[in-house]
Amino acid sequence: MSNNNRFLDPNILSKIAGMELRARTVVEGFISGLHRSPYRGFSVEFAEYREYSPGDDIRFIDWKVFARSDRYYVKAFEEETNLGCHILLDISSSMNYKSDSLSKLEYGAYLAASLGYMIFQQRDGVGLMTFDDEIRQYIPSRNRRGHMLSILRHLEKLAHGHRTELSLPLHQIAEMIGRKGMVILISDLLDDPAAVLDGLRHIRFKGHDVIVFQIMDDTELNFPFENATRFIDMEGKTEIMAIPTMVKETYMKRMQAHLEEFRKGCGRLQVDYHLLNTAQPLDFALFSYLMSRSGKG
Amino acid sequence: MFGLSFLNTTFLWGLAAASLPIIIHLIKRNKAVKLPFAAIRFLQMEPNKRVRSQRWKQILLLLLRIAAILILALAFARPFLASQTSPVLWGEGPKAAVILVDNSYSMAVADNFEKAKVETDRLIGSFGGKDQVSVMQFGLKTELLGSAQANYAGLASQVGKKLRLSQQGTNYLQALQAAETILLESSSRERTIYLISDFQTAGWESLSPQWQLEGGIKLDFLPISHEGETVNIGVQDVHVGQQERRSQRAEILVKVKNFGNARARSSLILNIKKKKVGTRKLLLAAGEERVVPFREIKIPAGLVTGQVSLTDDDIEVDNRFHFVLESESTSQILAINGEPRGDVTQDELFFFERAINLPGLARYSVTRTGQGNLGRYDFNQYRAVVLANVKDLPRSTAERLAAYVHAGGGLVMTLGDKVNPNIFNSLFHDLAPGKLNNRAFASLRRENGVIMAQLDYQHPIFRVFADAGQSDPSVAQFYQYFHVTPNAPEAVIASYDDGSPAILEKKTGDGKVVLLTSTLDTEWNNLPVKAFYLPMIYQILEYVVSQKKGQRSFQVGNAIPLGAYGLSPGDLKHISILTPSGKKTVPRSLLFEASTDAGIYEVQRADSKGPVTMFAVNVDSRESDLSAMPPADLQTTIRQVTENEVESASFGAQALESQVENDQKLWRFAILFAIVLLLGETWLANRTYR
Repeated sequence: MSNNNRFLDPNILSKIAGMELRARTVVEGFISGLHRSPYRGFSVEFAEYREYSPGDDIRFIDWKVFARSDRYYVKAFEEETNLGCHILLDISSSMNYKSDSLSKLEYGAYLAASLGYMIFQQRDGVGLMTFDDEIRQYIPSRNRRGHMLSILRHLEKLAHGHRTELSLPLHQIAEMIGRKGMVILISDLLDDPAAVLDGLRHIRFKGHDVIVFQIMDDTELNFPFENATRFIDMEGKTEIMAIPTMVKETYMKRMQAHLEEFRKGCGRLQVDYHLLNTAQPLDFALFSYLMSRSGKG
Repeated sequence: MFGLSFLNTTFLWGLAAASLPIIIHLIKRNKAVKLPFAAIRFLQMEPNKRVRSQRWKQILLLLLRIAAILILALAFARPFLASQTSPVLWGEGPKAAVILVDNSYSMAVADNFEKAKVETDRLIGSFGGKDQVSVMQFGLKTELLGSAQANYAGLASQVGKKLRLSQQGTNYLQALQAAETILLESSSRERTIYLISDFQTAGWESLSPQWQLEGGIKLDFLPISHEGETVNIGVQDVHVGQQERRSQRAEILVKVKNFGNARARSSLILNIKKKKVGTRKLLLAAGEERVVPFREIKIPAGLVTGQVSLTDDDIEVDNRFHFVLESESTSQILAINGEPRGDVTQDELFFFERAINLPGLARYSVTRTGQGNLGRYDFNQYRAVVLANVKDLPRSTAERLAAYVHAGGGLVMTLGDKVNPNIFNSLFHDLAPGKLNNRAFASLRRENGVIMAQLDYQHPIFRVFADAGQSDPSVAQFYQYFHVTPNAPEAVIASYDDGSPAILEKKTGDGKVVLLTSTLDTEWNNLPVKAFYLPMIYQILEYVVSQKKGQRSFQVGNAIPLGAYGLSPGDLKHISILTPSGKKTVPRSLLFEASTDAGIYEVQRADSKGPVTMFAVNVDSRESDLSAMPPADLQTTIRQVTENEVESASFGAQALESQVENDQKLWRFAILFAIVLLLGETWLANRTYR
């Protein structure tokens, strides 16, 4: 069996009603798959126990272990993973683009839900911030039981915003999130790379770990158009008449340069950068996330 | 002009197929899809120039495809230029015609020329519908008066202004050939030569048996004739006898003829230097010719002009005959005697010298010599050299003789028993007009020898003998002679009745050679004792020395060689020619061709008081003979010379077919062009987005 059978097609996922169910389907399917995988020991799990040492909070002593071994062990994760995780979701008009049944925004929403659900399951606090050229919605990071539901509902009712202007919201977010934590940016990043990277630098400067998921539609990445097309800017009034076979080469070069700039820029900022194609299953995103987190463990 | 037509018009429906690319283009036209696109920022910098360029390429592609289909359809329809071939293809269409109008002076009879003009106008008016019509007038020379393919009224007007009587004779052959040349350039199926003429018999003498009228060209004879009595006495020739040196008097013989169909009276007047010196009353029956003598006419020294004239009749231009006389010193003749004898009557030159040295006539002076001591004679001092029965000559002397003749000297060669054919042929192979073979013995008993039966009366030597009543050459008997193989058939100017050449001639360089195949004395013939001998000797000598003298009598239309009067190209800058009409013209070359009027032409020089030289131009007396050939006979004559008409017509048909094929070659070019277009389309399509 190929790995693909393990993963859910995003299009099928879109047919599942309810964001919570979708998130659970993705995450549980993904987790069950991991049981058979050779992957081990990511830090947000409970794999590590640490012997109690003076100063540790006695509330975190695992009494079950004490009963078996007569020693005091403290669950290390409880203290380490109780981090605030903020998922920043770009809802600008460009995210509304779709070549198939799933738009980038929908894909991003599923991703946000899945990540949030998985993080929440690990008892980390999850927050959500949607933005376009400014912050449209902010749900602070919490790990209360009902909090996740409100995030999921919000994700379910998302409406696309205006033009993409990432740098300003990123700077604002950097200032808004006080406690060090994790920031997950889900966007198509169709903005000036320097400005976006400047915003990310700001967030990094505040001590946050940053993961960037760049969501791109398959047609944006491969530009498979053939017929003469009048391309209409989704965030403006610009219209460009083009013969795709003619402009493809240039387009691809520019696109690659754009992606490469983000990839290198994120590398320099020690930001995890992942390019996601909306045609790919979400599991890839989760896998990528966990892979990057394992490196932090 | 040239309209395009098609053989297979059905294929023209194929032109509708040209709409296919347009329809396909419209159906499959890629209406630009409007697509909201997020990553438009990567397209924004794309220049629209390329889009426009592609659009133009696509339009060009469409045009190429349409053009290729159109051209293919046209090619299959077999296009051709209609105006070139439609007559051939459909058997109709514009005609081609040449109207030949006789303007020779014989057309002056009564109102014949006016009739010809009317007929010409009528003919021109009968054309239409882009018929191609040319009108030419002709006498001895043919002149194109105009051509038209539409404006026939303009052509008629143009012809009316230019068509005029000339003083020329008639040359039908030249006119027909000129008309044929014009018609051969036309591809019209119906090509006709209209010949408006009085159809004089004399004009058809020029018709060569070798000439054939091209097949497919029709001849339409339109005879112009005058019913009723015609009165025309014409002067045919003037002969000035040898001048008596002391009295400066000579006999002038005028040959006149009544060319009319009724008895006619006239007065013949002789003028010398524009002064009347004699008059004769004439009464001539129809067709009668007569030599009228004017005796004891004093002729002053130097160049003297003369004129004989008749009183008016139907044709005025042949009533006058002009001549120029030149008193000259005696011409020196060197006679080389190959058989000198002590008995003078047996001497080879006995009769010759007697003929030359007539009392009162000192035209020629003979210097006689043997063949052994020729080294001391400069041939150039003599007007002519006579080789009489000469056996052999030093090679160097023969070469000198050849050079002399080449430079313009005259040479008369007579044969005899001393002549060895081998030596003769060896020495004179470049000079002699033929190759000597064996000796012929016609009659050893000097009875019933061969006679000189066939003479070329067109030749200058025998022209004077052409008229009845002149000396009869056939009275002389030739018992022996040499068989001679002539260098060319035309070299023979007189033959015996057994067909062997009697007299041959040859032009070498500027000189002339005459060969008598028998003896100059009575050893092989009895010619010297016949009346024919003396004028023949004079005519022969006159002929061989004439080059040096310079002819002074020409016919209208002849080219006059001014070089014969000692003029050189350098003189052309200084001379002018005063024509009979009083007009001065400057000759462009030493060949003066504007002898359009009869009369005296004076060559004048600016730095000289009197004329440098003069020459007389007269009308061709044959033109005065109004006897005509019936058109039916002419048709026969033309058919005879064009007896290969069927073959010719077949050839013409082949030529027409070939021409049709050529005219239809357009389709090949069209196919080639379509292929080129399709190749271009392929190339362009590969460079254009699909």
